[in-house]
Amino acid sequence: MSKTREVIRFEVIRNLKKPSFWIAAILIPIGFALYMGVAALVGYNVGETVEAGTATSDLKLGVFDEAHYLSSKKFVNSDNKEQELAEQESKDAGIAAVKEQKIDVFYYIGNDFAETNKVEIYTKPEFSSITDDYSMPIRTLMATTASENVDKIDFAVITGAINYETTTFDYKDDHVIDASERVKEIMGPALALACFYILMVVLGNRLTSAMVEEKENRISELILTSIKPVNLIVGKIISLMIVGLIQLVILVVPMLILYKLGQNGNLLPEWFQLSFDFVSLAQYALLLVCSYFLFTALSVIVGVISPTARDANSYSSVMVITVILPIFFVNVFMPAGTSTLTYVLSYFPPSAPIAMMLRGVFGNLPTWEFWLGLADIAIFGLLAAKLATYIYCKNAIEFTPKVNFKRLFGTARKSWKK
Amino acid sequence: MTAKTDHIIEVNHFKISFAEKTVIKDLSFKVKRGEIFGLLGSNGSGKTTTIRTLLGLYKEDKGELLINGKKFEPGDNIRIGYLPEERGLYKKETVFDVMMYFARLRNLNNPKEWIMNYLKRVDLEEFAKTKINKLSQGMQQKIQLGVCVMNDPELLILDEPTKGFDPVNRRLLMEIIEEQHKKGCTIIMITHYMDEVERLCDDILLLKNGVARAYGPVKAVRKEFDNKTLDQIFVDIYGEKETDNE
Repeated sequence: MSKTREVIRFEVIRNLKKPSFWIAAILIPIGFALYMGVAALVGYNVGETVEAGTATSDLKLGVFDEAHYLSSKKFVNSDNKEQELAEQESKDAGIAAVKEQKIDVFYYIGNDFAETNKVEIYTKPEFSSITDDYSMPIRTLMATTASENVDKIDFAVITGAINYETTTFDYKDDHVIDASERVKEIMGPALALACFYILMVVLGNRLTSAMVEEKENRISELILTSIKPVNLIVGKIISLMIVGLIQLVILVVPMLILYKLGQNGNLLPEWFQLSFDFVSLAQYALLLVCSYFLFTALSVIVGVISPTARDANSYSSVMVITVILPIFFVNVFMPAGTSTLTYVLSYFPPSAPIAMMLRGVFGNLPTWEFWLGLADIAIFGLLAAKLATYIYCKNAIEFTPKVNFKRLFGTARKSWKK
Repeated sequence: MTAKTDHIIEVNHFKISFAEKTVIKDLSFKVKRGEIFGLLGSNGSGKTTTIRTLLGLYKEDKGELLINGKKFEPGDNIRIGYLPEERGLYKKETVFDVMMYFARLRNLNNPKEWIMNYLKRVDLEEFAKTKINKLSQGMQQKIQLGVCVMNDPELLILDEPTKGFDPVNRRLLMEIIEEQHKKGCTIIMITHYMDEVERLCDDILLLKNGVARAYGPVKAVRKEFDNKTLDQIFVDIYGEKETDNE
């Protein structure tokens, strides 16, 4: 045990000393903050553009109603002011007026409007991408005209103006839960999913290369006469988990502090006033730990069968794809999409962590299934760790460029027969 | 608790094969406590495989390989120093950190003091905080040697110890081997340098095609081969045409 402790101490300290660890730890929140900032900024500008685009107060508008459909040429614009469309003498006159920049937008309603239901809009090139917004005045005028000709209710039905008010009931374990409770339910799995994903991205390669290091640097023989392989592997797994959790704390704590400061200073928007269910959080924290343990053990297997870090990275990509497989089938984790694939991905150990978390996010994970999934992940994690240890014992001093599975498992059969 | 016998190592009817190839067919030998034992043979004759199996890194197909009367496991009550043929260190760590790690794994008392004394002795004191990959090959070999002897071993196994050593480091290595031997350490040497064997070894074993071709005290082996030098005996044995199957 003391030797395992030495491995943990050595591995944790040297990981924490690496600049790459701190760069990753600091860059992720900075990158996230930048992304949020840029998104907020872009959203604000887009909002302004759209608003500016729909304002027609400063524009000169013209119309030629050949079909005599419109009952009025006046409408209330977005500034709540009455605005009138200037009558043009003909279609050609209206188009010429746009070309000569006498008017900004010209609407033409042809004689055949009853058959074609078409309104032609002519405007300046700089408005082309937002031409749709300039249909607003004519749409308003046509709707006003139509409403005068038919019954109000019929008009609402035809134009889709009826309000269909829907009330949904969320269920958990066959009990109805209210919306606020639902938000609380989502927080646990959503946070676990985000943390698991960040850990995979940040530490995925580090896990495998940590295992190849002894082999690649020809240290295996020296170290394996000082410590049992099982102690070395257990030490490595625990240390890599500790490093991952430290990374997570570095990411999460500043966010929590900022959130708390924002909450205390009433700086957060209403939708961002989150509430937490601590029992659910604790459950999903446990799921996160077990999932990360499984991921670590799988990475260790990849590391111990690989002769070099380069090979390890190739094998690691295959493993990561298997782990994130549920993301490609999100629909099957929603209550309405539940199918056989939902259960296959939920209980196939490598894909189980993300599948379980996604089901939790969509409220499609009964409590009994949560515990069953957790047990599945934990048990398979232990088996994977055991297999990693076994392979390491057999393969630690193989310096050949390829993994010799036949020899590896051939030797295994031989020793089991004994 | 196993009672100490005269022999620190006992290998009986050892056989091992990889895939279709039998590397060791039937090998038996003993190493006396406190002696220097030469394990000799041409490349691919199974010397390193024998050592790796003795240290539990490979699993034998048949026979038994015992250290202090039992199969070796790290953490047993025997201090072993092993300088493997394939040797390296954690390249991105400092000299001190790497030595400290191994010192702790080997339960060394006062590891810091031992490390600094050793680094001073091999003129690497100023490189204690330098990363291994910044050191020359010769400097790295000195560190490997330090790691190998830091626990004051009862059994020192050196697999081609002088491979790649310059004359200065080779002399240092020989000094350390002799020093350890004087302290009562048993030493097993795998080497191709017959002059070293003749000068240092008490007993030798010559391996060829997975079996012992000669085994016993140096004098007895030489007598068996008409008092030829070990160099000549080596050439005779390994130069002769293959008649037996691999």
